[in-house]
Amino acid sequence: MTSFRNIDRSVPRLEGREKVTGKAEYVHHLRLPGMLYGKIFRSTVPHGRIKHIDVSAAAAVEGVYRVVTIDDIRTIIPHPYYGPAFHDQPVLADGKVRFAGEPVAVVIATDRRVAEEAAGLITAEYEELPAVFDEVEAMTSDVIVHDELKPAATFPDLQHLKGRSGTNVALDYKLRRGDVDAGFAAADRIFEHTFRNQQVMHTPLEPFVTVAEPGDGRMTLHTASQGPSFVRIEIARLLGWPENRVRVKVPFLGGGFGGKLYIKLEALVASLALLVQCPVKISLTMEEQFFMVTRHPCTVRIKSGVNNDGKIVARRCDVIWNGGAYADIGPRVTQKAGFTSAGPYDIENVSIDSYAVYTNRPPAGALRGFGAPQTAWAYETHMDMIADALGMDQIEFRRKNLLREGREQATGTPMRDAALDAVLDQVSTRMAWSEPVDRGTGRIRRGRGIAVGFKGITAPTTSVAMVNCYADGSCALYIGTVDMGQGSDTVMAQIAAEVLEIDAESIRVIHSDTDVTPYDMGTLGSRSTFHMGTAVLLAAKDAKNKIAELARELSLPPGNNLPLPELFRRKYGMQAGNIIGTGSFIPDYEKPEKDTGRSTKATPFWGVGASGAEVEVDTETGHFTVTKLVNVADVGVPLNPKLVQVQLSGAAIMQLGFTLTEEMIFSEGQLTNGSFADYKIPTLLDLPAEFINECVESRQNDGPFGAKGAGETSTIALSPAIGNALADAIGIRLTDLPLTPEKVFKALSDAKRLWSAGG
Amino acid sequence: MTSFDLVEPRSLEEAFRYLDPSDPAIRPFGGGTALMLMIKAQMYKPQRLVSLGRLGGRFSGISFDANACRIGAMTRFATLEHSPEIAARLPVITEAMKTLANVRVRNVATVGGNLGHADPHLDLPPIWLVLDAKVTVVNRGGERVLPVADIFSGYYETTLGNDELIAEVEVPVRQGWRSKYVKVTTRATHDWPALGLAISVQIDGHLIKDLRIVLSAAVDFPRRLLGAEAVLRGAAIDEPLLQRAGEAAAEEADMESDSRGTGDYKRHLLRAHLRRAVLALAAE
Amino acid sequence: MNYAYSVHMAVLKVDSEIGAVAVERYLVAFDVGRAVNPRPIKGQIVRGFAQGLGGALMEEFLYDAHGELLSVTFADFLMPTASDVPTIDVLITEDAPSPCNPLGIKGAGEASITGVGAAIASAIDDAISEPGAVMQLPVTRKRLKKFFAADSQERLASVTLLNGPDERRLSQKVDSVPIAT
Repeated sequence: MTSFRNIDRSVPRLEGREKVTGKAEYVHHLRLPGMLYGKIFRSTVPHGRIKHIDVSAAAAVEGVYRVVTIDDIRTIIPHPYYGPAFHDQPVLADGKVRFAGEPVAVVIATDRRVAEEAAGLITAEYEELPAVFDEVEAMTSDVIVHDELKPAATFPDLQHLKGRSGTNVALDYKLRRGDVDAGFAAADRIFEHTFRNQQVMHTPLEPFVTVAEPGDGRMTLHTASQGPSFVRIEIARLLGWPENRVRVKVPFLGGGFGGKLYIKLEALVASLALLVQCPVKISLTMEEQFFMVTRHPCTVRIKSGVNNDGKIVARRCDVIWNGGAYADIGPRVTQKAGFTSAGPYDIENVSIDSYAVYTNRPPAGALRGFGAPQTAWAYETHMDMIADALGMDQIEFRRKNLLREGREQATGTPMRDAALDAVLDQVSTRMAWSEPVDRGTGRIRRGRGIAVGFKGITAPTTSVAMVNCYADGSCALYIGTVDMGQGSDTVMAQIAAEVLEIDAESIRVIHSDTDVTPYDMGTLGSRSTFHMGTAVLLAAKDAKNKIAELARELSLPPGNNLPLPELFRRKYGMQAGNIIGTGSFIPDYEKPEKDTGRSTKATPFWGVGASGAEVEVDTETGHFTVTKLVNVADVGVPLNPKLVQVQLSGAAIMQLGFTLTEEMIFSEGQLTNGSFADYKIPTLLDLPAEFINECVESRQNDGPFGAKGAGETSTIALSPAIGNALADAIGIRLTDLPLTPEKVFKALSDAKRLWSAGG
Repeated sequence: MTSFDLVEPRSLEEAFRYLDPSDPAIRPFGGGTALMLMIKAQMYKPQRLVSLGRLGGRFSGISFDANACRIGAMTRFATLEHSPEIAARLPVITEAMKTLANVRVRNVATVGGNLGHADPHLDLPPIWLVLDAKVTVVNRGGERVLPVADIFSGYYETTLGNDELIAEVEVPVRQGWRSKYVKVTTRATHDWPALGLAISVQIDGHLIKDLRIVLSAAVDFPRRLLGAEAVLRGAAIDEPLLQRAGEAAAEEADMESDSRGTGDYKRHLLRAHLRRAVLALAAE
Repeated sequence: MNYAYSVHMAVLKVDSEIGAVAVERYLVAFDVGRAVNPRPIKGQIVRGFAQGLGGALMEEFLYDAHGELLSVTFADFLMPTASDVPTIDVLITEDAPSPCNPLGIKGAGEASITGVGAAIASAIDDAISEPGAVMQLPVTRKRLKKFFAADSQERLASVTLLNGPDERRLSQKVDSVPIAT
């Protein structure tokens, strides 16, 4: 094995010191001279026509500069609708509101407290319209959220997107493989279940924040965004400007998790800044984030035909994604998570229908896992239910059906470098699966469960990177990847350093600034290590080649070990000059066929993970504790084992919240728990006593140094592993997330299997 | 939030000069942890806030005599938490601090402010009630002493006059009594309780000589469960007794449904945790 | 190696009573090799002249006997303003493109300042008909006044002498460039 200087080394985060000493830059801290502050006034009804907005009292408050509605926005952006998949979201409500909490007006004031005070004085009258909130109802409802569908045609994989006009269906993705009805007819047994995922939110510690700084025919946006390149393109489109007039700068992010993608506050704040010709800042409160973007509630109906020997012969999945009032990136979630919704199994006959539907809820978009956790909740609970019915061991049943290396996944894309067997085996080992389990007696019962899952990666997407070697031999890396806590600066520096034969610690990473750093599609969906990592690798190789070229030009013998500063000195006679290497990468991709969803290159790589859980249930109260949690991932070669570990545990903790405690609760479209006193994310005290996160030995052969993404893998199989453990403990299946004590208690009561007190 | 005046009087006299009972925009406060949240949520718009934190005197400090503990209203939770005397003589308080809010809140929040806020989810009020604590309340003209139980009159409502300030809490330290507070959460560990249950018992072997039971969080303000107390008082602990006490408690408590659970579920939790708490106290 | 070169010509008036110098006409002819965008080049030349004029007539670091800097404010360290700078004539030539780059470009930023001091000094010498009189820049009023005081009877109250180029010899390529304020 080659020995590496930087690879498979836990280089400490390059920005660690800055962060712990409070010196790291965040947009939240930014104050520009003459800056004004905006505060959003939001709708109080989930669906209605705006009859009247009264801003007079707000405008009269001392310190208020201007109060803005969509009419004002239109003077800046004639067609003020944005969105990555559909141009369906108005910068401010335009005649209609489609969810309770939608931005209707903005107060601009010299102080954010004044703006807040004044926003509270705005009143609006609505003609309320019937509304639809549930995704299944929305499929057939007479209530239509959008009268007209406006596809954006931004992404090559969604170019066929038209939606079904006259319905709430924004995208229907179909996958057809074999003959599923014939498969069912031939199967020994048929199983059909329905599963539900609740609506949850990203909860980044740094809420959404954007500062827009207008220039003369130019605009600089300082924004907490995971996708500065997209922001530039979309803002330029809205303003009708060329891209080079819009500059988007992103320092560190205090967490993104998929929420801070595409356009969020940027179009609004840019418009405000152009209206008042001053820098304007809007920072959301933690609580306002519930109305910005969320994760799709999702209903999955799954039907399997299985032979008595445990072989699955046919599977049909109907997946309905509740996209809320605006599509955001929901259609892409619908497609990407749709095509893996039958699970990582080798099934001859598969039929998948995945629908993105509009409802009158806050919009849903990407959230860590990009839909994979929702579908895995369904297919992996379903798998256990089938195994139970067949009397088969859960792991054996899965092994019998698992997609093996080289086999075609339902789309027709072959499985390559996907260590499904290995992750399942390792979870089995860590869970001591072959050993008996003490299930307890009486009030306290114990159980264990496992699950395995996979995800396709958003494609096709592009990354461009630049390596700049300065005359003293020091190097900087110019990349659009946003370090939002995942440690991308460090990993990208490791890749570049390995090629350049220097230490990662010596590289400086220049943060996203679209005037300075080259294009990147976005920091999302586990793509950065693979895509940007490859671009960085190519850029570093390009720089290295140019260094070699320079040595040749200086008539140095090949293999000379003259240090780079000396090369520069010889070339330029002094400490001067640069060597700039560039690299760009887009993986092979084949669009899915419209009618069958088939593609031989549906994903550049596979995210693969398995989880195991042990739970202890208090059968009297329904309280249960996850006493052990194991997450095993295939991340290819872990470039930085410590960072991979943190990514796996972080993603797992997040998914633990989505499994146990987090749920946005609505009453008639009104969010009733929109505060962190009432919407509970897990804390350290909620972590399992035994919490194992690790990766299997694996290699992504076309990834940089054998690596692939690691940011989402441990989200995929976690929920079903816990649900399966719960079922193992108490013999009861919960099909709807989150798994709360009251649900457990109620299920136990309903089943009249309540053990006697103290039993 | 708009600007307001903040004053920090050094004497009671000065404090009363700043306060105006007729003006709701002028309010006294202790640590301000709850008040700040209300201001940020625009639920309350102050013009003047009068901090009682620097009053000193009877408003501060913890002292014990043979039968009672006196706690100044401006005593911060962290002071209670780290007091060795509290740990020795009123351990139920020290124990409750382990899961009460977080260290940032405990460093700032005060005993008096906590009582005056009258949020039914708070952990300390049911403990004061179960310990039969009394409160001294002062106004311009004088003072009065009342049981803590008499402070609360509704959801976030008290019987205190606008011109009255909580000065101190007096907690009896009774020999032979044991107390326990159970914070029952149904979501993340770090959550408001779905129900709070405080129990104080005088117990002899398996015989409950006397007891007090207080329920909080699931009800509009902390309340004694007199029915359940009556079932248990003077009785010997056994399973049927505990079942009956649980039923009595569930019967008398008017439980609210909220995001932490339905009323029915909370009644069930009350039954279960009442039984467990009594058994735990008996086993101590 | 290539050279950016310029020619400077000055016509000025000297007021011997107060030692004032007023530039009446001035020409900078500047070979830039290839004028990529003539407009900013003209600007560069005019601004270079203005800066050179400051150096020729006004700007000076003055020290006392202890080495203490005296001209520490812009009331003491005078710089030319729009009222001190006349409209000048600019001739951009492309007679000698640089062989060192494909476009033949040479610098355009500095040769407009380099000749100003010498051209002004020579014109003053000519005005007072005393070649070699000005040996030190800047030719401040104080200095010039001192020079006249030394031999006042022999001098006229005011001397004007045009010794510059024949105006007709200036080609049509010469533009008058107003000095921006």
